[in-house]
Amino acid sequence: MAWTAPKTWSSEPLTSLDLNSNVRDNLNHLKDRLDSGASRFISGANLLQTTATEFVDVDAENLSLTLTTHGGDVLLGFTGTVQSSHNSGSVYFNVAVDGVDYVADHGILRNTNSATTDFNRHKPISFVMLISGLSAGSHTFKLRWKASGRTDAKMDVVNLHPQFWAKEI
Amino acid sequence: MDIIAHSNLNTVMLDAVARAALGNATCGVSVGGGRSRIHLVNHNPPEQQRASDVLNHFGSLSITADMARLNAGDADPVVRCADERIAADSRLAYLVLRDGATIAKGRVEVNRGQVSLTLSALEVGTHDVFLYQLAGQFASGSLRIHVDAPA
Repeated sequence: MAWTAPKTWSSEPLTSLDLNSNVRDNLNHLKDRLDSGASRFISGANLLQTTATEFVDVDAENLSLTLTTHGGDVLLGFTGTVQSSHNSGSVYFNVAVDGVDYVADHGILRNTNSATTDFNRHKPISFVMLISGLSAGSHTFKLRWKASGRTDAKMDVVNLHPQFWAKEI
Repeated sequence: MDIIAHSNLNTVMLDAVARAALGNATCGVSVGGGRSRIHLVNHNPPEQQRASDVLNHFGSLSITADMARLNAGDADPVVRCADERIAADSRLAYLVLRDGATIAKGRVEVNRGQVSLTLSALEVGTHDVFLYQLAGQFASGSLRIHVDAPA
């Protein structure tokens, strides 16, 4: 149900037609948007790991969210814990919207180890990002990551349970 | 595109043999959720076949060591491979991990269809020795050697 710009009443009588379209239908539209969301917690028997130096899906099945939207903006969020296997190693994050990386270059977030002691140390990361101007309809959102050269990125899904979510706003 | 095996393989080992087989045609590998993936940069069929070979023959090379457990300071263990598939190879590549971290890597000559690799001065820890072909089926194999503190 699409949003209708509410009319401005002056002295004319209220009609059921106007009330339904300007009040009921618009409230339903706002409520539908509030209800439109999806989230996943990830669990597994082994760490997720990658050595990819270009963005790849963190988990193509379990970290893929599909949302049918009314058109407009969507918030995406992620909270999890990562490790990099080398000192000075980096882990980069991005999101793909309908199969296309949303941000170019090194994505939206980078976590880098110190040069001496940080290898394989657990590091919490979290982000929220705004995906704006989506058309109405079904959209797929995937969490993506990559590692810097000669290192591998790891995400604990055994003892910790990262969450990836999408919410229409 | 991804070439997928339905098991969790060792990430560092898989990355090593995948890069040896595919060079810049792969950007790396991912492991987790019961699957191992080799990420290909394009959709080139010969490279897809090579990636499939890497996964299909991962862990299939027959490798032995003259000892699986020793104390630090003992005689150096020797790792051998005489798998018939390496008969035509001139070299294999090797990777040595201690407690999951790479401590040595390189190439070793194939002589009369056999490889012999001496691991010198190993320190305390769990060592995984990985050997892999640089041609053919890109077959690979590994074994584990535990080194304890001196008795």
